[in-house]
Order: sequence, then structure tokens, then C-alpha cells
Amino acid sequence: MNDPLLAIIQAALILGLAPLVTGIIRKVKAVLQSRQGPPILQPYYDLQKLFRKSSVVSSDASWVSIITPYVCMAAMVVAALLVPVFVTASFGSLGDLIVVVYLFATARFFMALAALDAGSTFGGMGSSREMMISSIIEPAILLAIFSAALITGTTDLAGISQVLVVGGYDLVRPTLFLAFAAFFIATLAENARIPFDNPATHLELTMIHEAMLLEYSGKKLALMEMASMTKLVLFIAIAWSAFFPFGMATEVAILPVAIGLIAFLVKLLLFALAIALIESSMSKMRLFRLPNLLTGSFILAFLAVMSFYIL
Amino acid sequence: MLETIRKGVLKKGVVTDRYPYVPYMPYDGHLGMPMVDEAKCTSDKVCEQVCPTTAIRFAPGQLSIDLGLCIFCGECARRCPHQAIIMSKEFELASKRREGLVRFYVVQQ
Amino acid sequence: MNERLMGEIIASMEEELANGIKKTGIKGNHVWMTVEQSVFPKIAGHIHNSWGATLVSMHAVDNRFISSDYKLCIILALKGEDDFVTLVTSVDSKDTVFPSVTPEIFSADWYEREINDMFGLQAKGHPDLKPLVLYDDWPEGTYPLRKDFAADSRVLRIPRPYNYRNVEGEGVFVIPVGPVHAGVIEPGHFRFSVAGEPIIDLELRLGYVHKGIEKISERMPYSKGVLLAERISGDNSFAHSLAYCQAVEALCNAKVPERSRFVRCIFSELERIYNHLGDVGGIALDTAFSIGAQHAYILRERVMDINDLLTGSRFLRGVNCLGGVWKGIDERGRSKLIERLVMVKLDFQEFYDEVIGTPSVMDRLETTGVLSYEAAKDLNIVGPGARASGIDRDVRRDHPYAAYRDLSFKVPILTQGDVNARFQVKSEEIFESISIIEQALSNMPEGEPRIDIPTPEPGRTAMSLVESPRGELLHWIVSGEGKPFRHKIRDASFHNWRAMEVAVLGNIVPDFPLVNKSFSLSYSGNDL
Repeated sequence: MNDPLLAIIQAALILGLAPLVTGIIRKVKAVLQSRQGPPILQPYYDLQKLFRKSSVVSSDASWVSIITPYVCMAAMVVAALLVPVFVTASFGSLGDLIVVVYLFATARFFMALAALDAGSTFGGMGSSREMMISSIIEPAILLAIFSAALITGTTDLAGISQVLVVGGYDLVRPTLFLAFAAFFIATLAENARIPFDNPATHLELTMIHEAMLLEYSGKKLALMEMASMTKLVLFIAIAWSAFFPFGMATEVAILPVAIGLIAFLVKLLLFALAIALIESSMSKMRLFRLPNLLTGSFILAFLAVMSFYIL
Repeated sequence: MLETIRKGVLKKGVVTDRYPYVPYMPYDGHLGMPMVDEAKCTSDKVCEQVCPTTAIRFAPGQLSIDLGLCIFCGECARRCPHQAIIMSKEFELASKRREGLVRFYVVQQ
Repeated sequence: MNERLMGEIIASMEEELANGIKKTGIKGNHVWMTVEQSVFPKIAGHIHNSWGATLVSMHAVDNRFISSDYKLCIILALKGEDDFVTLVTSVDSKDTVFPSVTPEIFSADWYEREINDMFGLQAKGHPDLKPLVLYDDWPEGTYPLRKDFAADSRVLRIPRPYNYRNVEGEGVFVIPVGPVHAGVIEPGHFRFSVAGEPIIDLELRLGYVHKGIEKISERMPYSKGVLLAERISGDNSFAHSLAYCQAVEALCNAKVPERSRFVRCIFSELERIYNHLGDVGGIALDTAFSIGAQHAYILRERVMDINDLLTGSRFLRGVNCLGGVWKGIDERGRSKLIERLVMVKLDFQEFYDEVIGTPSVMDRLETTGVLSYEAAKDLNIVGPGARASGIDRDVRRDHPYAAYRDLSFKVPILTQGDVNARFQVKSEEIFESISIIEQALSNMPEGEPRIDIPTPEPGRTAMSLVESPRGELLHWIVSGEGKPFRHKIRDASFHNWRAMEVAVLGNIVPDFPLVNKSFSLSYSGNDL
């Protein structure tokens, strides 16, 4: 369905929940390490603290560094409008799934460019590593989404979830599972999680995503952090609504919406727990072995598309 | 993965405390802040001489210990002939001003 | 050391070298040879190569107010024997040049740079006499360790350029890291030259935490000097203070009580355990294996907790004193220690199995940061890093001190030289240390924990070599009036930092912190 009002409500929900999801992942990781860990609401306090502080920009930087936080955040907000959360509705007339993928790409492009802008070596290293990862993972994401689009006949995310929910279990085929697996690996790669990158590291030589954020401070850093957290929740929302949207409401009535909301929160929590468990059980992979894992994700997505035609 | 969790948090639980919301008491003999028993001190200045960083200073009728210079080595407590100065277990010594780190004691001349 | 061995050494030298020896003497297990300046490098090189001796230290003493010259010493430890050879030569106070030893013994490189910084004695024939510990803007011609430089003088700072090694080529980038790092660690500057991700050259620049400890020590009476020694390198406090106390006790030929020798062994091993636990935890942390890392850090905290219970200080400060230890280990402390060690042993075995059983971690550790046997020998690497590359040297076994002669333990030696080998060596050493402590506790003799020792007379020389968790460290003292006349400190990291420049070649940049952590290097101990 194309419903701007519902889209705005869903976008606000995503933006509001984003720091909470990050907080939950950190808390679960800490408890698995036998530590108390920070409070679940800590990311909210961090963002609040950062918004109060002033920004320092390097004297070598140009206008790119100044606009990048706003571009990234704006891209995430627009993408949030296009993703259905608990109702199979979004602001579909703005764009479909391809637009969402390229909104992420725009944000990534500006982030990498701004990292090079400040003229520091770590920014450059982070950008080159990020580009290496995303050059392999983007085709995997697109293929995974195509497989969902092939099954349902539309690339509009609200439309995909609508068809899958209405079609029910008849439409469940191996394609969805393979594509979901590929998308899961892509989520870990795009959001700088172990085994690709360590979000909690302080070693600047090993950073990929964090290295690109080293130059920001104050409000700009708050916007970049918020954009990263939102990206994670968006990936989770897309993963569930494109492949297993069962439980989402197809009409605006009290009971279906309540079920849709609860289903979404449960799925969000499950995905976050899975990320925390995987992060705690393995170490970061050596940089030059990452393309192997990324290509694995691409193969899974490719198999998903193939299995649609063969099976 | 499951092995790690089973042998980790499921066996040990959470091992860190929620300090400062719960208090922490160090062991006996912990080298904390030096404290003076004002009744026993006779100002014979042995502690001032042995202190390696000149953290202990005497003025007439007054002894001051500068915690910003003190390295908590315990020499003053070992050498005092009257056991007037002991290493207490206090470790929460922060202050918002530099002057707050100097502790004064009133002693006999 | 006896006359026969000294005779053999002199006989093995060539005619012209033997003629350059002016005076010899034997004291305990030390043979002293005063030699001519011209044959000084060659004799040192001969003993180093033909007798397989390792370089222990090379330093200068400002003797201008006593014999109107500078004395230059080089100390070599003979292989397989508990014997040392000290070569002394004199450098003229006007013509402050001496022939460099670096062409003969490669690891004398940094020593000669330090002597140049501190005393202004130039080594002729040295490849690159850049400043080592003094910063760029230190004025030229001012040498801090000379006797006429007052310890509290202020100097005028004049900025000067520093020449880094230049690597040119297509697609070669230079990445300067530090001295201000993104994490809360000590300052140090690393210049990488990379072609993409693999490192083709690394240049280290240290000296940012130079505190002038050797100069401060020259005005500290011996009892305060123990406190100073504890603070050279924070997590090796006990090893440094032990070396200092043993050196001062050797200066006055004092024999410490038996009980204190065993207690000193116990605390040395406790320090080794918690340091190695921190290191293996750090290796796991740098590969982002957080659960394993936290497991090791929890164990480290438990060991530091037992340190606090036994001594009142988590870092084992305030334990050593001149003449023994302040207090021994009482009954309650002993039972708690045994209990805690049993727990640590079982838990550490679990951690070790966890790390070995996680393929993603082992993939990061194997074949990373390889240091070959030849490189380790030429650079004179010490400690667990050397033992993982095949060098069979451990001061506790080769030059026993404290009660190590009466305790039995294995020294683990591996040959691969990668991060995994260093991890294995440290893990083995933890188990060995636990066994040493148990032996020492059960064999501890009764007695006083300390004796009072007299103040050493001026003009005597003594040294003490101790195996700290990082490797062998040396304190060498010439006594003055109630305080040291010259105090030379050489921490293990002074040798081991050179290993970094060799071990990272060919590895990618993200593996650098892992290699750094596996060697466990101290910035503060290196810079003094």
C-alpha cells in the first residue's frame, strides 16, 4: 500500500528504536563476557551528550566534510520512509527497493569521500577497505532482493511484503531461505560487525567503519552515529519484510496492527540476539580473507535466484 | 559457540560489581591514604625526611600531606617511631580542586 | 669464572688483540678487562662471535672528576656458563670519539645512539647516529648524563628536523601513526611504508616518555632508590626493584636471609603470571575475540587481587627492600594463595582450550609476525619473544638469582617465531610459574624476612640480572657517597623493540597491533 501517513509513523518508530537495538546488542555482548555492561539506554545518553557539544572541523577539509553528516542522515530518513515495519505500507510513490539500496550507497559514498577529505591516513585506509567490502556485497544485496521480487512480481517493498503475507505459506520456498542467509551476511558486512569489523575497537590501524568517523565531533558525530544505528535497524527491517514478513498487518485495524507491532519487535530482538551471539563467538577475520566470505554471500544470493527458476 | 556460552556466563555469571552503586572494601593492609593519629604525633619529622616525594610537610602545630605528590609507598608508616601515621584503606580520594588534595592535621609541637 | 677460563678467552684471541689488553681481574663470576680503545670493538666482536656471548649492556660513565676521562663498558654474557666478561676502555674527555662496536655486534646500535645522546661520545663508524631518547628540539652540545649538567636545569628548546628513512617507489605510501594514539596507551611514533596493505618498512621513534631516571637516581639515597626503581615500568615493578636491591646488596657483599630469597621468587612468579595473562588476553582482544579476552582479563584481576591481599598493592609495590622483603607470607595468605592458584590453573586451561579451539582466532595467530632465529640472535632479543624463535636463554636458569637454584622448572622453547608461538610460550610459562610458586611455598625455610645492610662504600661496582616477564633486565651500579655514582638500567624492551621492525615486514597493517601485543613491549622501560 502506498500510505504516506503510515510511512511517517513507521519511520519515526525505526528512528526511535535504533539506539535501543544498539544498546541491546552491547548489553548482550557484555553479559556473554561475564560483565555488567552499559545500560540498555546508554546510546540515547551518548547521542544527547554529543548533540550538546560543538564541532571541530579540520582546516584541510572542504564543504564535503560539512555536508556529509546531513546527507547520510537524510538518506537514512528517506530510506526509513520506504520500508514497511508492522504494516505492509510505505511511501511507495517515492521509490522502491532499488532506491533504498542506492540511498545506502549514496550515504556510503559521501562517508568515504569525507574520510579522504580531511587528509588523514586513517580516513584513507578506512575508505579503501570499506569500498573493497561494499564492491562485493552490493551485488549480493541486489541479487537477494531480486529473488524476492521474482517471487512476488514487484520491487516495491510494501508490495513484496503484501504479496508474501497474503500468499501465506504457499509462497515459502528455498529461494527465501537462501536469500535471507545471503542478506544476513550482508547485514554483518554493511554494518561493521564481527567478523568484518570490530565496532568496539580502539586500534586505529584495524578500523574500517570507525576510521571514517575519526574526524567528526559534536553534532556531526551524533548524526553519523545515529545514521549508523538507523542503518542497522533498516537492514533488519528489510530482511524480515522482504523474506519473512508473516505477522505484518495488511489493513489498519487495532488487532492486526497490534499483532504486527509485536511480531516486528520479536523479530527485531531475535535478529539482534543473533548478531550479538555471532560477534561473541568468533574473532575478526584477516582482511584478505574477507572477500571469500563476501563472495560466499554472493553465491548464496545467486543460488536463490537460480532456485526460483529451477525449483 | 554454545560451548563458549555454557562454560562462560552460564557457569560464572556476571563477575563485575555495580561499583559505585555498591561499596567496595579493600583488603587489610591495602596501601591507601596515609592517616595521622593526631594524639600520637610528636612532630619529630622522621616521616618528612623519609618521604621520597616531599609530600609530608610540617608547619608549627600542623602536618600536611599532599595526596597529589604522595606515591602511597608506605615508608612514613614504617618509619614512624610512634606509629602515629598509618596507611588506611581509603582509596576514593578525588577532588575537584588541586587544593582539595592536601589534608591537614593538628599535631603537638 | 676462574683463571683457566680467562686464560682460554685470552688465548683464543689473535696476537694483536691480546696485546691490547692492559689489565685483567676476576671478581666472582665476572672477568674485567681494561683494553685499548683501538682494539675494543674487535675484542668485543671476537667474544660475541667465537664464544657465542650475548650482549647484556653497553654504557658510558663520566669519570672526568676522578680519572679525567670517560669510561666505556661493554658487558657480555658467555653462552651456557654463569659468567660475564666486562670490557672497559677509556675515551678522552677532549676528543670524544671512539670506534663503533656496531659493525662487529649489530645490537650495539641503539646503545651507541644513547651514549651519544647522553654523554656526547660519538661512535665513529656507526651507520646512523640519530638521537634516540632526546627529542628533536633538545639543544645540541648539551648532554644530560654528564656530571656538569645539573638535574634541574632548564634548556632552551630549538626545533630541528629529524631524518626518517625514506622508501620510494610506485604506489608506496607512508603512514605515520602516533605519538598520540586513538586508545589510551603510551606515546610512540611508528612510520609505516606500505604498498597497499602489506608493510614494506617500519621505522620506530620512541623517547617520548624519557623521564631521566638514571640522572634522578644519582641523587637518591639507596633506600629511596628502591622506590624509584619500582616506578620505571609500572607492571614490572617487582622485577626492577628486585634487580636494584640485588645490585645494592652485591655492592656491600650482603647475604639476604634464606626466607626472603624464597619470598622474592614467589612474588617474581606472581608478577610473571599476571603479566602473561594480560598479554594473552590482549592477543585475544586484538583479534576481536572478546569472550576469550575477557576470560583472561578476569583471571588477571584475580591474580592482582591476591597480590593486594598478600602485599597491599596490586602491582607488588612496597615489597622489596634493601636486605630482603618487608614481610613474608603468613599462614592465612599462604592458604589463600594456594587456593587462588588452583583456581587460576584450571580456569586458564579452559581459556587456552577455548582459544585453540576457535579456528578464526588461530587463523589470525598462525604465520603472523614471524621472527626468524637468525634475526632474533642478531638483534639480541630477550624474553618469551626470543624463546618462541628458538633462542634457549632464561636468566632464571642460566644465571640463577634469589632461590631459583633450589627450584626446578622447564623453560619452553619453540621455533616457529610467529604470534602463535609466543602465545604458546607465554601460556606454558604461566603453568610453570604456578608450579614454581607451589614448590617455593612448600620448601620455604623459617627465618627473618630481612636484615639491615650497611651503606655501600664508594667506588665499588655491582650488577644484577633478573628475568622480568618481558625478558632479562639489568641494573648496574657504581657506588658514590651514600647514593649511586652511575646507575645503568637496561629494560628488556630496549632490545625487543628492534624485533618489531623485522617481524612486521610482509604482514598487513591491521596485523601490526597483534604483533605489537605479542611481543609485549614497554614504552616507559625503554625510554627511562
